[in-house]
Amino acid sequence: MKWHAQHDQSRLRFEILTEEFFTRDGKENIIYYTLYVYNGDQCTHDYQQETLEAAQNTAKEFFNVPDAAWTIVSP
Amino acid sequence: MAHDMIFYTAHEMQILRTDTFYKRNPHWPSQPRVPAGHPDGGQWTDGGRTPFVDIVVDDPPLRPVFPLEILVGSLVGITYVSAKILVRVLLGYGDRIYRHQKFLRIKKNLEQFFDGKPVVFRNKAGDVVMMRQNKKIRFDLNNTHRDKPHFHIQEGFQNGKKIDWRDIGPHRHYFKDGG
Repeated sequence: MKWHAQHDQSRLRFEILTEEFFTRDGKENIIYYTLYVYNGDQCTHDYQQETLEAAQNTAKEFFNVPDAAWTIVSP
Repeated sequence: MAHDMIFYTAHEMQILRTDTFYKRNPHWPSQPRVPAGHPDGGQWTDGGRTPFVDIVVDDPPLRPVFPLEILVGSLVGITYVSAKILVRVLLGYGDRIYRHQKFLRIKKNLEQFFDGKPVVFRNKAGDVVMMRQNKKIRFDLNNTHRDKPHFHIQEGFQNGKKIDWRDIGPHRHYFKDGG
């Protein structure tokens, strides 16, 4: 899944993507929500969290991105 | 003086010449001569063998053979090749040993950081996350987001049932050799 946010006060662009990780034997898996921060084409930061809320909180805490700014791009 | 002069007919001249040739060389009629029409026509020849022709031979000049020197040279050559192979093998082993020691050192450092063996997760891109309790190292080696390969060292803080991960030190750590 993918979420997108544009911060009005800066030229930064924010994305949250889900990523699934597996152990070598495939018996355990974990889904991470990674927050990517873009300045133009360059990805300046990437934070990996275990929940969507934690990823959005990171964006709010470090870059003042309000929760309402997030829109889901692809389910 | 005119009465002392003797005149011969052409036929007589022929006989006289023939007699002279017989006296000088009785075998002269049987000795081959170069046929008329040739630049050397009429000259004695060696019996009709192929005329000598200058041939340019571009073969390298013959060299003397030195068996002892060749033997010694071969042994030196074999020794050189053997030494070269030996050096390569030793360097290969050295490199493997060095890599293995490096791997063991990294493994030891990781186990010290995690205070034990971490669980290793891998995503589709081949990037790796190592995690144990509230410590995590995330390697972005393949999906580098248009940056150089890097890794993140993170510490987790309990937030309800889940953990919020925060960076320890810089946001991104880069490898010394750039890779």
